[in-house]
Amino acid sequence: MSMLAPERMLETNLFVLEPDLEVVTNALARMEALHLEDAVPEGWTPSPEWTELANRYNGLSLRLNEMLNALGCKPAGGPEPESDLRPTQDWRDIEARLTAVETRVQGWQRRLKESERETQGLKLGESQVELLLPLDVPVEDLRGLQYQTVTVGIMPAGNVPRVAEALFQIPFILIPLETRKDRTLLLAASSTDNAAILDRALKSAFFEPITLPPEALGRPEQALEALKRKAREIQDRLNDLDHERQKLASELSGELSSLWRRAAACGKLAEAIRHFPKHGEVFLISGWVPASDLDRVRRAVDSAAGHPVAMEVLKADANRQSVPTLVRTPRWLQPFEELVTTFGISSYNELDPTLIVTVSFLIMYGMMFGDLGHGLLLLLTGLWLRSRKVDLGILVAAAGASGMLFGLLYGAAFGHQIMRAAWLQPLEGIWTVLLTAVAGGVVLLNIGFAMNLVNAWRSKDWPRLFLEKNGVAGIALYWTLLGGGLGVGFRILPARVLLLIPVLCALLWIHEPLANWIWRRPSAPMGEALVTGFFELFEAVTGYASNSLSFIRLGAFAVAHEGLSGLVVSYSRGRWGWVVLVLGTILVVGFEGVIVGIQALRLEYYEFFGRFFQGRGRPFVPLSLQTGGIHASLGVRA
Amino acid sequence: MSLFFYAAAQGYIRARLSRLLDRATWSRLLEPNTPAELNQSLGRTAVDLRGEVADAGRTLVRFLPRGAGELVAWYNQRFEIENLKTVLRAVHYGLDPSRARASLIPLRGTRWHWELLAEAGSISGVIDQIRESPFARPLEHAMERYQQEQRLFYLEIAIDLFYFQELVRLIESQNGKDAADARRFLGRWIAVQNLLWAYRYRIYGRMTPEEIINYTLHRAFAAGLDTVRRVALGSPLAVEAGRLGFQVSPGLSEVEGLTEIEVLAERERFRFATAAVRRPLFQLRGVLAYLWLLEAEVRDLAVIREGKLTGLTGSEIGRRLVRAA
Repeated sequence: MSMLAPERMLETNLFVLEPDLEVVTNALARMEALHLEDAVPEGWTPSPEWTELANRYNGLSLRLNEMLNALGCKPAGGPEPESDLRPTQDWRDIEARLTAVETRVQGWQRRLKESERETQGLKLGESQVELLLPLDVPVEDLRGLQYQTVTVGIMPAGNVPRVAEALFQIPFILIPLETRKDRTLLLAASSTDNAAILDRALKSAFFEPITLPPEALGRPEQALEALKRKAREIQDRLNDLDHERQKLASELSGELSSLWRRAAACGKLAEAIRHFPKHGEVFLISGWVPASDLDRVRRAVDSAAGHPVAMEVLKADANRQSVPTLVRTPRWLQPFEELVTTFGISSYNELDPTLIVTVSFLIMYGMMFGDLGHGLLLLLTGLWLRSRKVDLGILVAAAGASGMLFGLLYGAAFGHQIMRAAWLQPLEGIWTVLLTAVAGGVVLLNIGFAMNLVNAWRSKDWPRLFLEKNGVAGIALYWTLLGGGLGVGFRILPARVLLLIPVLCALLWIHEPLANWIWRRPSAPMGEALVTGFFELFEAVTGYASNSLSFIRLGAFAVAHEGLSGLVVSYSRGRWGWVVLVLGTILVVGFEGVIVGIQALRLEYYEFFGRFFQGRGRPFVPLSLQTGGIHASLGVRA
Repeated sequence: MSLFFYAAAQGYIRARLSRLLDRATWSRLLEPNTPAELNQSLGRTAVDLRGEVADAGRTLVRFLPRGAGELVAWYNQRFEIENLKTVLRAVHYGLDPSRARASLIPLRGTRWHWELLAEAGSISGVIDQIRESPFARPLEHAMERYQQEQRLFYLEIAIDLFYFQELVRLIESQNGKDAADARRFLGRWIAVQNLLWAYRYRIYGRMTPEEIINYTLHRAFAAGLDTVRRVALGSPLAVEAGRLGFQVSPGLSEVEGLTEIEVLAERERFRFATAAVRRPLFQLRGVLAYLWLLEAEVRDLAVIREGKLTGLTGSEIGRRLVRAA
């Protein structure tokens, strides 16, 4: 059961004295065994100094990132700082060292920014002046027109046609001069009378007007030459600045990376601590600890503080609290977790179905895709994907292995019957395959029923356990319909067994008012409950039949796979037969491989999960120094 | 081929449909109880519920063929936008970060630490930190105007326009039945939104025609540029709403008429979705219908909660619910 049941959680409150706070939080973060909760008892308040400190580290990290980016370096990954983190003190050292680096770099940065801004301004100026080349008047004379309003500026490229539409009421001129990235340099003009409308339209399209550089003087060609000369000077300056950057980067990247790692780790601690409420000199660290880790946590915390730390441990009550779920899935099963987490995360009171889903998915897949050769191709594809670090690879490889196993049972490889089938050939024993598929489905549904009973028991949801369609009453009806029907049909059971059917139907029909009466819950009007109950009963009974029969597709796909593979083989004779064989095999493995995967997934999600699994849990995300740890555990759920 | 992609999605949806709240639960929620009791009985807050809708959308994207997947993924970006707007408001108005935190939708798989962003010192600081986001560029475009006038409107409209223009592009890039579904569901929704925007700018913002045109969508299916122009030049609400098939009750002011159309549009969405999930779900409409049903549920829960806060009775709240239609 331990593989199925989430780890037992304990609500843990640590009362930590202010001087011990940093070392205790540091120890907890390194252990990764505490999922933090925001708990603020009356009279306790979070400490604003820690918010300030968290912001300070956030700011330091941003500055460090900015510096690394400016120098063209990436923060080098590496281990977290080994020494104890002291967020209240470390920022001073980080700040001082960063400031020293910034002082060294700032001069270079300022010169770079100035040069870049000048280059941009000159290029825009050149574009504008080029338009004026046909005119034989000094540029400065165009700045004071009496009957025209002319403006040049930048706007998002996508807004240019929009402005044209917005100006539908007036005559206007819009000339896009140049588009870079997603911004267009635009000249806009209208008569002075319509200047206000033009201005409103341009502004509402996020137009930013620009003015010509001061160098643009004289006739247009003279102005253009002056601008180009200036641009060449600045380009030389930019080249020198790039050499300077490379030199600075080689000298400073090591130190900046080390500072960045330390600031990030301290920032995470500060970010966690700022949520801890404080009363006097005591901080409350509240959260969930897996029961199996409690002693380890207690020892680590006491050892970090140098004396015993007051710790309150309470049992989790999942009906009252939202308890995070931690399922310690064995390593070999982890690649298959996504089969379940794609649908949802099991809540604390739910059994985790990963093991059962993995086994049943692989069996269903293999049954529909049974062929030694095709399975081998899928296995190799999966291993290749895995070697390329694609997570899905293991699942594909396992599905291929299952296909090979069933290939042995069917005696088939690449559509050829290469040996005596250990079980049967699907095309020869269609009824056996179909009935086996349905029987397998009945088994899986009953596992679902059983898991629902356990989940209901764990949640103490008695109506769900006893009276609902997937509870005891529903299971009894299912088996009376199925087992009773078959038993009476084959004269193994007396016909009076079937008298149970109306009794159980009636029970399911009135289950809601009955549950309300037994467990004294507020009830809906009787008439409405009975109408709703009737339709639910109808849905339940048809669901029992349709859910069970839905598994018949396993057999149908097994037959179809053999048929399709045989077809490929029958057309692969003659000179170009190998081409047909290769293309046909690719089609069968690629196309059918995907289809049967989806069908198996559908059976899991709809038929199987529908019996017991809600998937509304939230994952256990411990306080950690790893990226994302703290934010996730504070409710951002990154 | 798309049928096979949709098979897994429809398995997921069919399994999840049964988890929508049934009529009996709705009736119970309308019974006299306080908002706190309501939270207790639901076990989740309104933002948690919106987070669950976002999760459902995110999960479904993984089942869909590429084109439809891109569309639904982008449609789902509206939750990121809600969080981004919450952050921008918190920073602009200097709100207490805890208030902003309470309004942030918990999104699994988001790249941004919204809680931390809510504490950024300035709007440009927020934009710096979401530089990799698709919304950074539209925000940068609007920054100069924002800085000049200190009005959040320019940032919000820049994000909305970018989001909806991209959504229109993705709808228009769909093929086959997915294209028809996307137009019928999302295209219709976009048209209604565009019409409502245009009237809101005219009625509440008293904007000039050129501003109305610049702040609305030009390609918006049944309510594109031509409609916006007519609205900008003074076409009555009842006339333009009528073109989209909505009958505004006689005697209402334009403000009341707008509110009525908002509710009618929501009810129409619910009807579309309810009808769609009764049919086979092997198409895009099944996915969109399911997401709309979830959204309608969340919207109604919010209405119930707000109704109770303002002291409305169960029947008064019932009239404002989408499901009551």
